[in-house]
Amino acid sequence: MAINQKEFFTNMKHCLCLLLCLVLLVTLPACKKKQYTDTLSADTLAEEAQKAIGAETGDYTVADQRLLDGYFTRPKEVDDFTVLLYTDRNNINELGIFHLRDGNPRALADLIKGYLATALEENRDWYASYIPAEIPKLRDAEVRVFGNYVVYAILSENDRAHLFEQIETILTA
Amino acid sequence: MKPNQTTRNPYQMPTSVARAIALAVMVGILFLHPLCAHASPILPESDDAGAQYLDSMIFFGESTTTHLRARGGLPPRQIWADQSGTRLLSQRTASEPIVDPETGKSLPFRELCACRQPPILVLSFGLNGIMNWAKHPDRYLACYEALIDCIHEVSPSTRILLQTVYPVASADRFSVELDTLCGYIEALNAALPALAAERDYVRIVDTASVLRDANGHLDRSLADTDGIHLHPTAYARILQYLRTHAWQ
Repeated sequence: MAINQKEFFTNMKHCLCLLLCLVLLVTLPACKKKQYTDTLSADTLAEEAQKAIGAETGDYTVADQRLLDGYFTRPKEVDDFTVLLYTDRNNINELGIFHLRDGNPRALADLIKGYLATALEENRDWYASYIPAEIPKLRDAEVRVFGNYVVYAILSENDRAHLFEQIETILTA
Repeated sequence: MKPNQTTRNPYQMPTSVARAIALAVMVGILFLHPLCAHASPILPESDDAGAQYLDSMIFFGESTTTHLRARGGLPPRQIWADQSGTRLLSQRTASEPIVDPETGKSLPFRELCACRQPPILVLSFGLNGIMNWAKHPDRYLACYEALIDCIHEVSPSTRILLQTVYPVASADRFSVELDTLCGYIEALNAALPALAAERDYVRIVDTASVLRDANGHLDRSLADTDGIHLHPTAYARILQYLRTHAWQ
C-alpha cells in the first residue's frame, strides 16, 4: 500500500509539471509586445474612425487647433493630431487622435485624462440643464494608447468599442 | 541809468527758455496723445452713432443675446446662434456649430466668421459659465482669449466688442447667494479689459451699467420673471447705450 501511494504522488507531480508546461506554452505568446504601425496620419485614422462609428459626411468637423490649449500643453513630441467634434450641439461626440515622434504616449494619455476630467467638471451642470442624456459620454470617456498613437473618445459605449476596435485593427494590420 | 540801456523785467521769462518749454509741450502732445487715446479699452460716451452703426453689428453670446431677436427688435441676420439659442463659453466655442441666419445652414462658428467677415462682432459671455469663472478664472479667460484670437485669425478686419456681463436679480439657478453671484459677475467684468490689452481690435462696452439698481443687482423692472432674462425695455436701453458709446 505504501509503495502504491508513493507511485501515485510521483505520477501526480509529473502530471502537474506537464500541465504547467502546457499552460506556459499557451500563455507565453500573449506576452509578446504588440507591433503597431507608425506611418498613418492622424487625418487618415480619423476618417477610418468616422467609418467605424457610422458617421456620414458632414457629421463631424475638425476642431480649432487651440481646443485643448487651455487644458494642457501639448508635448513637443506630438507631430500630428486632429480633434473631431460632432456638428450638432445637442450631441457632444468628440474624438482626438495624436501621434508622437518618440516621446511618452502614456504621459500624453494622462494629460488627456486630465482634460476629460476637467471638461466633465466644467460642463456637467450645463449639460444637466440642456442635454442630460449626453453626460455619460463624457463621464465614461476613454483614452487608449496604440504604440505611438494616443486616441481619446467622448462617445456612446457602443461607438467607443467600435472605434477602438477599428483603430486596433488598422494599426496592427 | 545810462542812455540806450533798456530795463529788464526780472519776472519775465527769457525767450529761449519759453521756446524750449513750448517745444517740449508740443512734443509731449504728439507722443502722449495716442497713448491717452488707448489708455482704456472701455468705450467712453460718444455722440449717437445712429441706426446704421447698430446695423453693422453681429451679436453672439448666451440666451440674453439670442433674445435680441424677439425682445430687442433686431433682425435675425444680426444674431448668430444655434437651435438651442444659448451657449456656454468654452474652448469648443470657436469650433461649435451655429446656424448661418442667411442660409439656414449649420457650420462651425469660425467658418461663419471667415465667410461673413462682420464689421463689428459683439460678444456676450459670462453668466452661463460664472461658476467656472469663479473656480478657475485663468482658464475661463483663456477660453475667451481663444475665441477672440480665432475670430481675429479668420476675420482680421472684424472689430470685437465685449459686453460686460449683465447683472441678475435672482440666484435661484445657482448654488450661491445673490450678492455672491453679483460679486462674481463684477469680478469678471473687472477682468474683461485685460482681454483688450495689446489687441487694438478689441474694446469693452459697459452695457451692464444701464441695467443695475442701487444694490448692483438687475433692476427688477427690467427683468423677466426668472430674474435673469431681460424685458424688452432692458434691450432698448442696451441698444441705446451701444449707439451712444460708439467705437469711432
